[in-house]
This record gives sequence, C-alpha cells and structure tokens, in this order.
Amino acid sequence: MSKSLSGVSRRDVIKTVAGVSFFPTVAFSKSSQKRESAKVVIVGGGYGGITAAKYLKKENPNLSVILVEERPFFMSCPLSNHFLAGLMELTPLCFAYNVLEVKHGVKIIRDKVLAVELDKRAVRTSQGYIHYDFLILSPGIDYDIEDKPFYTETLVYYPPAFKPGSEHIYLKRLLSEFEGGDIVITVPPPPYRCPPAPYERAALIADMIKRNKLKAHLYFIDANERPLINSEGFMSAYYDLYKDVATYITSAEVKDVDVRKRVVKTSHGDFRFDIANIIPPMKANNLLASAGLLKKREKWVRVNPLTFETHVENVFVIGDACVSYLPKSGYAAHSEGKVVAKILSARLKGKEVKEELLQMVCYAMVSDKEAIMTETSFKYEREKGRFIPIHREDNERKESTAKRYIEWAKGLWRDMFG
Amino acid sequence: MDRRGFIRTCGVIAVASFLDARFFSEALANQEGLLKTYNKALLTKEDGSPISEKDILPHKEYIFFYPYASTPCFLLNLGDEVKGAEIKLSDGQVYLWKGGVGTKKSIVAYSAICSHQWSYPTREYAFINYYPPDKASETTKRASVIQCCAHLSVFDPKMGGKVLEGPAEVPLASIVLQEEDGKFYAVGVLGKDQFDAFFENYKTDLRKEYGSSAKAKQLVDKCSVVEVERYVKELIRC
Amino acid sequence: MSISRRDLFKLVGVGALTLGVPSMGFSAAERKKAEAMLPPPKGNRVVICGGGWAGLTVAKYLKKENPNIDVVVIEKRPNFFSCPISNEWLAGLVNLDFISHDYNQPASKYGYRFVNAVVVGIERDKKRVYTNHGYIEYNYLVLAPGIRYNYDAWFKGDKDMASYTRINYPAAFIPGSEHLALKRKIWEFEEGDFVITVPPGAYRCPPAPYERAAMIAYVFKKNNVKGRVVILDPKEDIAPKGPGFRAAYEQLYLGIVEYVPKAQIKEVDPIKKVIKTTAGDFKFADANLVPPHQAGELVWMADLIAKDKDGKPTGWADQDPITFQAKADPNVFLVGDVIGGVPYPKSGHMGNSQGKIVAKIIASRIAGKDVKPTLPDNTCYSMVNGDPQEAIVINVTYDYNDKEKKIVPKPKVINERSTDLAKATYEWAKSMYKDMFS
Repeated sequence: MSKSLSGVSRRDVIKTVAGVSFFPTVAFSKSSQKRESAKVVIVGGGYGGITAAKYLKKENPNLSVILVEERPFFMSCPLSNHFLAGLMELTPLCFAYNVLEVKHGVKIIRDKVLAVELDKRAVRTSQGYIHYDFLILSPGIDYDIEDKPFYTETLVYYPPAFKPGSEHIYLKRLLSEFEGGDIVITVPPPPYRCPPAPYERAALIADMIKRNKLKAHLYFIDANERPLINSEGFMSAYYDLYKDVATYITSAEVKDVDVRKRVVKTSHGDFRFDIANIIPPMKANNLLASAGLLKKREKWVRVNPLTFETHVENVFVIGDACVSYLPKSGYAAHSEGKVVAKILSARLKGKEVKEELLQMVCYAMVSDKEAIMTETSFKYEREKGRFIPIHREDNERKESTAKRYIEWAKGLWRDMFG
Repeated sequence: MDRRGFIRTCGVIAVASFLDARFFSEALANQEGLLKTYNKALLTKEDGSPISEKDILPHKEYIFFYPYASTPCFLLNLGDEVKGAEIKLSDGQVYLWKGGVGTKKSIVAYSAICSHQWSYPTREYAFINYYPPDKASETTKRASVIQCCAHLSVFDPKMGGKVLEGPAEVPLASIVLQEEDGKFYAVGVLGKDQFDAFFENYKTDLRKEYGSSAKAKQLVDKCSVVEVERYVKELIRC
Repeated sequence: MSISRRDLFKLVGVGALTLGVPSMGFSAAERKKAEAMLPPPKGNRVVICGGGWAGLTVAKYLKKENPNIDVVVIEKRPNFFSCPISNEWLAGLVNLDFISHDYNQPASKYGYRFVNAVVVGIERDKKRVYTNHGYIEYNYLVLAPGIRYNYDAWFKGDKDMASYTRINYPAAFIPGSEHLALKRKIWEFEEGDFVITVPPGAYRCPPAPYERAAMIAYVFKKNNVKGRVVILDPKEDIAPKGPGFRAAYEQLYLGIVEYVPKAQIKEVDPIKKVIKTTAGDFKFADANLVPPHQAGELVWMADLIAKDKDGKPTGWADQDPITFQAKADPNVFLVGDVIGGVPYPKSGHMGNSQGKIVAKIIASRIAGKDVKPTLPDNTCYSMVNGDPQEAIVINVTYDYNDKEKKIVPKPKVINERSTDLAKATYEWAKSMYKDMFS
C-alpha cells in the first residue's frame, strides 16, 4: 500500500477498568452452593456459549444446561475472511447444534432472548420465561450506530460481516460479482470484535484484486493509526504486495456514508466506491444494556477479570460482550467458556478453583497463501489490578503459518463440535 | 492408602519396576485407568526386523503407531539418562512415569496426539513435533521439547510429557516401553490418552486412510518405526 | 443395555421446549401487553408471514404492481436457505453460499419491509399478527409459512420421542440446521443401511426423497462406503419421474440403492433403530427420518385448516383453489406448500408461481379492480448423477376445465438423464434466485 511504515511504539500495559476493586479478586468467595438440581442457562450459541455448555455437561452429566440461540446453526466468523476471499467454502465454517444435544445432553432452545430479567432470575423468549440458577451470557456484539444514522443504511447495503449469518453471504455476493472499480473498507476505533480482522480482510481483498487482475483499487480507511496487532506484519505486506492496488489511509474518522451516491466522507477526504465494507463501531449485545448490566455510556460489561462474574451473583458474561484482558475473539470466548465451566462446576461441588490466566493465539492471512500470527500471555499484577501482555509476534509472512491457522481453527471446532 | 503412603510405595516400586514391568503395572493398576496395558508390540524397522538401540539416533523424531493401527506415537532418544518422575494431573490424580529405557535410559515414547485439541501427524502435515537441543522453536525459544504449533502447547519429553506452557491442560500420554534382549516393546499407555476424542474427531479421515474405522481401531502387535520425514510430507515448525 | 426411556431423554437433553414451536396459546394477558410495531394500516397493508419462495415472491410482485402498497414480510430466520438444490449441496456439488441468500437487500431493493421476528399469535378478527417483538395490524394477510412435521403420526403425542427423532435423525425438509446435520451424517457414514422414509400423502417436493437417495448413493460410491440407501415408500411406485429414478438406481447405483414400495410405516423406533412397515421391518445404521408433512404452524394458529367429511383436519389449508383466498376469511390468502384441495405438487417453483398470481389478485383487490387469475405451473429438476452431473425433469402446466370445474394437469417428463438437464437445473435455480433477490 502507498504508505510509509511508521515505527511501532511500545505496547501499553493493559489496565483493567477502573473500579475493579469492588470485585473480589479470589476465584470465588461466595458461599458454596452444592446443587444437584441446579439449572444453568446459557445465552448465545457462539464460541463462548457452546464451549461453556459442553464443558459443563462433561463435568456434570446430570446438570441441567440450557443453551438459547436464535440462529438456526453456528457459523464461524473466524476464517470467514477465507470464505469472503474465495479461499474456503462456507460449509466447513458451519455446524449444526444438534451434536451438543446428541453427544452431551445440552438442551438447545432455538429462539431469541428478548430480555434478561435479573430480578426474576429468568430470561424471556417468545415462548415465555426460562428460569436459571446460574446464567452465562455470551451474546456477542451489536453495532453501535444509534448516534450515527447513516450506518443504518450501510448495514443493509454494505454489511459489515462482523456478525455471523446473512451479512457474510451478502458481502460475498458483492465481492464475487465485483468486476472492477473502487472498493472501500472502513475500520472503527477499538474496542471491536477481532482486532486483526479488518486488516486481514483488506489484505485478502487486495490480494483478490491482484490475483484476478481486476482494474480496481482498494481504499482502506482506518480510524486507527496503524494495525492494532501484528502492525509490522500487516504494514510490510501492504507495502510489499499491495501498494499498486491499495491505499491505506490511517487516523481517518468516518463522518458520513451516502449509499445512493456511493461516497464515504471522512476526516481525510471523500472516497467514492463501487462496493464497500463499512464496519461500524461495536458494543455489547443490546440485551446486556436492557438487563441493567451496563452503566450509562458503558459499551461493554464489566466483570471480575479472572472469573467473568458480574456484580450479580451467579451471572457471568463471557466473550466479546465483556471487558477482558484478552482481546475480543472467538479463541478468547472459547477459553473463557472453559474457565466459567470450571468455576461453576467447582461452585456446585462446594469447591474452590485455582485462578488461571489465559493466553491468546491469533493468526491472520496477509495473502492467499501466507499468514502472520501473535501469541500473547499475560502477567497479573494483583495489587495494581492490571494485566501485562507479553506478546510474541511473528510478523514474517509464511505459508506454514497459514497452514497452522487452519489447524488452529479446526482444533477449536473439534473441541466444540467433536 | 493416604497420598504419602502411596508415594512411598511408588518409590519402592519404581526401583523394582525396572526389573519387571508386570509388577509395576499391577501396583499402578488402581490408578483409576491411568495405566492401560495393550498388546505387547515389537518395535521394528521398516523392513520388519526388530529395531535396536543403535537404530534410534539421538534427537531424531521417529513415528510409530500404537496401541491402535492409527494412533501415532513419537519415539525419541534424548541422548542422556531420563529419570522417572511423578506426574500430577489437574484433578489431583498422580502417576509415576518411569523414565527412559535403553542402555543410557534415554529412549522415551509419547502419544503424538496433542492433548489440547488433538492435532497429530498425518501424511500431509505434522504441526506437533520434537525440537532437538540445537533446533529451538523460534516462537517459544524452547529446545528439547515437543511442541504443537496450532496453539503453542509445549510438552517436556524429559518429564513424562508434562505441559511446560500453552493451553494444554493434560500432559502427553506416554507409551510404556520395555527392553528385552536388545529388542524394544511397547506394552501400554500411561496417563490420560486422547484416543476416544481422536477416533471421534477423525472418523472420515481415518476411514480414508485405513479403509474403515474398524481397521483404524485394530490393536497392533508390531510397530514399524520410521523417521517422521519419511512419513509426513510437511513438518510445520514454529 | 437397559436405559430407561426417561434416563435416555435426560441424557439426550430432550424436552418439549426443544421442538422450537411457538406456544399455541399466546395468552390473552400477553396479547394485552404487546405493543404495535407499526402504525395502523391505511387500507393497503399486506402482511406476509413467511419469507420463503411464495412469501418473497408475493412481496416483490405486490410492490411491482403498485409501489404504494404497504408490504411487510415477517420471517423468523436470519437468512434464506433454499431447499431446492439442497440435495446437490448435500452431495458436495454446490457451495453453501449458492443456496443461501440475504433478506435485507431484496427488501430494500423492492421496497418492502422485512421484519425478522417470530409470529406467536394471529387474531383475524382484530386483523393482527403478534410477533415476539409486538403486533402488526394488516388489511390483508398472506400466510406462506411452509410446512411443519407431523411427528404425532408416528409417536401419537409423545413429544420426547418426537424431539429425540428430530434431533438425532433430522428430516431436512425445513431450512435450518437439519441439512447441516444430515450432510455430516452422509459424509461420515461407514457401513450398513441408511434409510430414507418417504412421507405418505401430499408432502413438500415429491421427487426430493428420490433425488436425495441418488445423491447419497453418489457420495457412498465416491467414498467407497460399504453402505446402502434404503428408500421406504408407502406408494406403489416412484412418482414423479419414476422411470428416470429407477434407471439411475439400476444403472448408477446397483446394489447401493434399494427401493421398497408399498411400505407404509407402522412403527418407528429411533432408539432401537428399527422401522416396522407393511413391507417388513428395516434396521438402520443411520437414517433420514421424514415424518408426514402438514401445513405450517401459522395456518393452524389462524384456524384455517380444512376439514374432511368426518370433520377431521386434513392437515392443509382451506382456501379457494383458484384465488388462494381463505374460504373462511376474505382478507387472508394462503399460498405455497400450505394449500390444499388442488392437484398441484408442493414445490419452490410452485410457491413462486402462485406468489405472482396472488400478488396480482391482492393488488387488484386493493385497486378495486377485477382480475381473472391465471393458473400456476411447475418445473422440477432432479439431479440423479453427481459425476458427471446429470438430471431429469418434469414440467407441468394446468388448464381449467370449466365444465367439470376441475384443474387439469398437463405433465411433460424427460426421464432420460443428461448433462444438459443438469446445466438447466442450475440455470433454473439462478433465475429463481434472481427473481426473488436481485
């Protein structure tokens, strides 16, 4: 891309949200509850919800575990850029939920949760109330567009494809029918779901333009100064491979999108497009705000950073919806699901569970055959209440890393859908 | 028997076990299924003749299949004596891994199915590999380890396959080896094996490779040992 | 192994809730609390329940007839999944995104409102449709919800058994996750008998089970699987396109496909994996258990199911065979697989064809004009070979016999499979998708 490589500044220490002190920092300090007939309700059948459900049942076969999910089947956002770029078919990214019922005895209710009523200890669906003793909320994100009405139209015409389902299907159609012209991708400021995703998508779309020898140009408009992860790796790929077909515009805020005139207005000028991928800012799923788990102007749910429990006893929030030292991703949600399953299992037996710090493993394609990756482990400074990330970035694009990427995803799916 | 008593007993057994694997296995049999004995299988070279110590070069990665026709294992000569060790599991269970066999007690074997999310060496790729002392991992900087490059779990072959770092929560299951008259036998599997998950997750792949699930699940009584480079097309290291 | 049935269901996690059926008794109290999702209609609002082949077609063509008509489509699924061509996808011949479509785009393009919600109640006297997000008032209602499964015919009200069967041996005749689960079964199948049950009476897409058998046999052949596909059919012979399917089974899948006619189901035991029929007992290693079909839930909810001469529900809607208007309610139209009392097969093509007619009828009503409704037509391709891809086809047009007041079908069948017909299959699908989505 036509932009010089900027120096990468020292990574800041991740500070937990102010106010963490009112969460107990031991794994659990509540009175032990041995309950044979306890009922666990899990909202959301994504990476977090499915993993929590499966591990709860594995550890406690007689426990009643109910998973409520509105979509008919699971579609993975991780590796969906492969699908969009034509590197993978959609089917391997999709899984039926029935395997959880058949193999593990999880009750799956295919319905939308309309409300979480904490005072009633129940969630409301179109079929009525489902009462819980323990609640795990893993409902993912919603787009934060209320104060920017132009996003309402872009959601329909140029979907972000950051929520599984029809958005990816439609975006894929746009991309496969694209024969030339200008493509615009816009990236919001963090936090948003999956920090490397837009950078990977830009690389793969630029690669697609090159591979198909299209008379086209990609305008990659980023609200951020540089890629949020593997900055070096992305930037060198953009510069080495795509500078003729793409332009990377940084620190550019999207001010308006006119879907009829097909123009994006930014703080760095206006950009015309033939097709676009407009990625709006994100926030926790609306359910959480209406449940009262978000304070005014908060976008993500604050939880005990080690146990993911909210300020409400036995109510947990995992995955992208919560504030965590882990970056928002399917891999993190999966790990958090396992942790909460462990904590709940111990709580049911009146036991304690050792605190554990999770780690991140994150891959990103930078061309149709090569990928870069980062592995991050964390140190916890309890007195200061902060988590220090230790990043091991591999910014050298390699084919072997791309192959590891697929194995990384397949491992997760094996663990979830066995 | 309380835990201290158990360990004392184990200590006694550990010495005796080098003489008689059967005695060893009986004592550990009440370790709630952590030791499973299968067919006593002779480890052979590719030509079928028994493999001898001099064929197992130090720090080379060898593959053989045990206890089933399709479950891959690593055979490693770690060069120096590898002492036995007590392996603790997160649920509190403990088992005793007896260390290496061979004249230098340097030869060990492990299941090559990653205990995290079951990556294993196929004919196409091996994401889980041994890193010799002179070829440390670029990512973790560790050497003399078994490392899986899918999610970066690292296991210690000198310490019963225990987890050194990464998301794996269970050590690699170890293969119990026995030496008799210069010949090597695999006699059992010690630790938490991943065979159920392996067969469940790879049904179609195994059927393609072996013709049927039944064939993939056949118990072997002979294991052909081969250098991993001759089995796997592409070794993925990181 | 003796597990009590109660324990088995506990293990499997079965319960009435998993059937995913909205409660029929949407209580009066709940109705009172519901809020209006849209302002009251102005005499020209058509609410369409169901975003399938029929529903989307009615929506688009209503707007084409008259852009001022207020059209609302209510659909519970997040995106469109095409059952037609799904058998080809099961066999790995097409990608999933070929048969999946987004709802928002066509709604925007054609100008109708798309509401992603679940219908939980219908009050025809108040002309209200209640959803899980509130109610919508209509001037005209189009019910196009497709089919529902009648597991009661097998299990006589035992909801646990029905749930168990649906979860373990999905029918895959309603879009959702069932097809995904079935695909996995087919590709992981090892050996033994894979049974497909053909529903009795009228059911969605008559050739589908036979096409599915062919596609599964193709996969077994391709994967060298020692398996058989056993088709249990209550009918005397394969219909439609009997000769075409039979030729394929004999020439391409000899020894793989076994077709069992006159096999009416007496008992289905999904736990012991046995089906007892009038043609014998059949054990299975795995199966595609398809129970009888009926009109979708919403038609029952609206109390518009036809009754036979004994007063028992027929299972299909009670609508005028030419105008699709509900006999009991002039403001309600029923279209697609739900309809009864007509010689039309139930298919996506039919839904689309009927949808255009119904759109014209309703548009004319709104305009206060008369219209002479035409009759729909049907075209049905069936893929019988995966490599090379070869298909057979049936095309039916209909005439109205004024004297006898009967709809008379005029079928044209090509039973000789060919690669040209396979190409035509995909051309047909693409043109249909274009009509509904682009």
